[in-house]
Amino acid sequence: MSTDPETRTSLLVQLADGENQQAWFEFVELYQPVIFNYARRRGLQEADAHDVVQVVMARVATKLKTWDADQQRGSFRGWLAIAVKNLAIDYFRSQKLRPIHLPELPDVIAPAAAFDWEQRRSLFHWAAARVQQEFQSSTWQAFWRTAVLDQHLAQVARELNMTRGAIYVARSRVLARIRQLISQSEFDSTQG
Amino acid sequence: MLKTPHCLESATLQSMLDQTLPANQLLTCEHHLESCESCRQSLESLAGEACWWEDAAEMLSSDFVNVAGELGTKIKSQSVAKSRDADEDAKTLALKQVRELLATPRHPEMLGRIGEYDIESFIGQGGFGVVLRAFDRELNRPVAIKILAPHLATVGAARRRFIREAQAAAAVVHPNVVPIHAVHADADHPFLVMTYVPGCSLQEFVRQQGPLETKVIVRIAQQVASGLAAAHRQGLVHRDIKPGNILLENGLNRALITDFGLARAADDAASQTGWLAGTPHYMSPEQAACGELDGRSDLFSLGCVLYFVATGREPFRGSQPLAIMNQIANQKPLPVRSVNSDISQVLAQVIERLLEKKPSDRFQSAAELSDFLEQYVAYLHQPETRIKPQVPRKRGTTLMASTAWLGSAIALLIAAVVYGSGVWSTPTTRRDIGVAPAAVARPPIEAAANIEPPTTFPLAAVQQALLDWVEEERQLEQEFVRLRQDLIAAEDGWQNAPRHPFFVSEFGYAPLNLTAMFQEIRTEIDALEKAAFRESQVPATNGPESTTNDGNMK
Repeated sequence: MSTDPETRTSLLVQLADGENQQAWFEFVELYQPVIFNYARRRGLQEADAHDVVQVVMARVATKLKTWDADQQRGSFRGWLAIAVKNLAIDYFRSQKLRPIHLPELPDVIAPAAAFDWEQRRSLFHWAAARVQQEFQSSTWQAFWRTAVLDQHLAQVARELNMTRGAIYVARSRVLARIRQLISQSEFDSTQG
Repeated sequence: MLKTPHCLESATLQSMLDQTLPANQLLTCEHHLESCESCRQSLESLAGEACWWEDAAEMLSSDFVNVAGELGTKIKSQSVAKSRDADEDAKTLALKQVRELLATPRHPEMLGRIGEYDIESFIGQGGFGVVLRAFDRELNRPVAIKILAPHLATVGAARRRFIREAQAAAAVVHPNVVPIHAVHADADHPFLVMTYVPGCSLQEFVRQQGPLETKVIVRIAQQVASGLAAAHRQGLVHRDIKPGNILLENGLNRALITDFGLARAADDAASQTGWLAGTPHYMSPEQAACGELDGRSDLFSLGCVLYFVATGREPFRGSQPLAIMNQIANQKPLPVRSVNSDISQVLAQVIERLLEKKPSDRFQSAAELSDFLEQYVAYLHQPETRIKPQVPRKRGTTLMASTAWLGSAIALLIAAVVYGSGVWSTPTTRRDIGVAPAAVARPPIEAAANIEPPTTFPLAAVQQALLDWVEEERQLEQEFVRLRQDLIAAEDGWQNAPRHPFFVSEFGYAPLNLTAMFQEIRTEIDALEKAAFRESQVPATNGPESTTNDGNMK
């Protein structure tokens, strides 16, 4: 930190705690898609959605100053999750961003609910990406094809050269692990 | 199903999930699961309650785009490919279906028959249907027939609109509007009969010949404007003015507008079927925003057409409709004359005025445009005897281009720091200023370096100007006035900018605080001005201390 003080921002001070740094990285990874998809779903064009991601992330970074581990209950991740949700919704409100209305994009009735939904979706994809690395390909396929794509179990078993029983076990293992990762992530904006 | 003695304990099920069950036991248990619904359910709820299974299916199978724009899952790309195929299929199908709905031809060289008309050939296909060349036996003349596409004919609203708009368009009688002879509303597939215009569309013409010359463009523009004026007088907005809808009769003699109001029928279908009708290249901003439309929307589209005809390219380009629509709403196209310098200034101004985002900044009616162009055509033919018409001024002041302030800010910053470092470090010489060693370490430069200055901003020119200052000190005063004006303009731009820039640090995004930066520049400009003028009178040995003091005094 002392090597080049001018390029260091207050961000680093706030994230001096190694655990919080890790949380910040995870947060950026997880929430960029949340904000992006949220903005897209609200009808913004791709480039504009990228801009929204950047502005909101910048605001969260600014707000880091107000995080106080001793005063706030709950985890840093939980705090971030609530902060980003409020900032994103506020930003949309304040900018009166006029979405291009297209029939394919559904109207979002409740911004908060839409954000929660995007958040949960991002968590699932985030967890799934990790879990996929942890398991053998056939185990992952058993889960993906029967539980997500809803393909016929007997057919998947035949194609993966597994017994049906093995498919049952494999897909349950994958789901259990995804659930575990999501539950442990502590990113939860619905508590605020 | 009932539990059997063979059923698995929950501890066993848990160890299966944890992968701690010995392999031989696991095989037995897996085998049991195949026949025992109850144990399967126990295993699955141990892995996650029903809501987890449901969420996994819903969340993971839905279209998910990560922020890099990549597709999060393979599923999305499959569904995109599928829908693209579906699109193609639908088109082929439309042609095939139209072929099927034609009655058997009365003559072996004809394709078929619809009503009293013998179909000779396919002319083309638009967003709403198929165009056929036919022969009207009663009146012994060729006609063009448009049949509402089968996929639209089934959408009630589209069908009704097609008929209503066609009837309205039939009432427009003007030499620059393709006449509609008949609207057959009762047929299974409604169709309309129009004059057959020999020649090609403006689209094909420009694709083959490239950009046209000013005189020709102005003549076409005047004719189209005149045709639009006739339609607007009847309260009819075209909504889909594009080069493909402007027909050129026998070469360039006469331009005729076709397809009045039909875009609306296609829109109706789009909102119900999810089809996006045609290309948005020539849409007006108010159309892109689904706002209220009047004749001035057609004028914007005409501006796009003229831009295309003058340069050979669309003013707003993008790989996908949403990108184009965003540009239409927010971006200024490249100046016509920067793409094709042969285009006259007046025509370029006309196009620019038509492409104004706000309808109130454009020509206010097609008639006004037509009148102006008529004068201009006359001038172009007899420049010696005629007065060159002036494009009417826009009401209100010109706002800065949305990004110009950023360019100015960066240039100012570089200007101030580069120049400043020269004054600060050593006695001023050209070389010192050019190298500007101290500038690199200054934080504002680092921040600014992450923003690409807009290419239109003459950065090099500013730098050159800075070098010239050193040699021509008597110009300095004037330059500083200008520098200050630029600063004010840049700051205003920043204050009013819809989006503020940011820079990416190793920790993610952090805001770029330009307010402080502008203050810094102002202080620096003040200091520089004082230092510079001192130097012009006093030998340059007057060094860093006094300059710094001046800076602090501000």
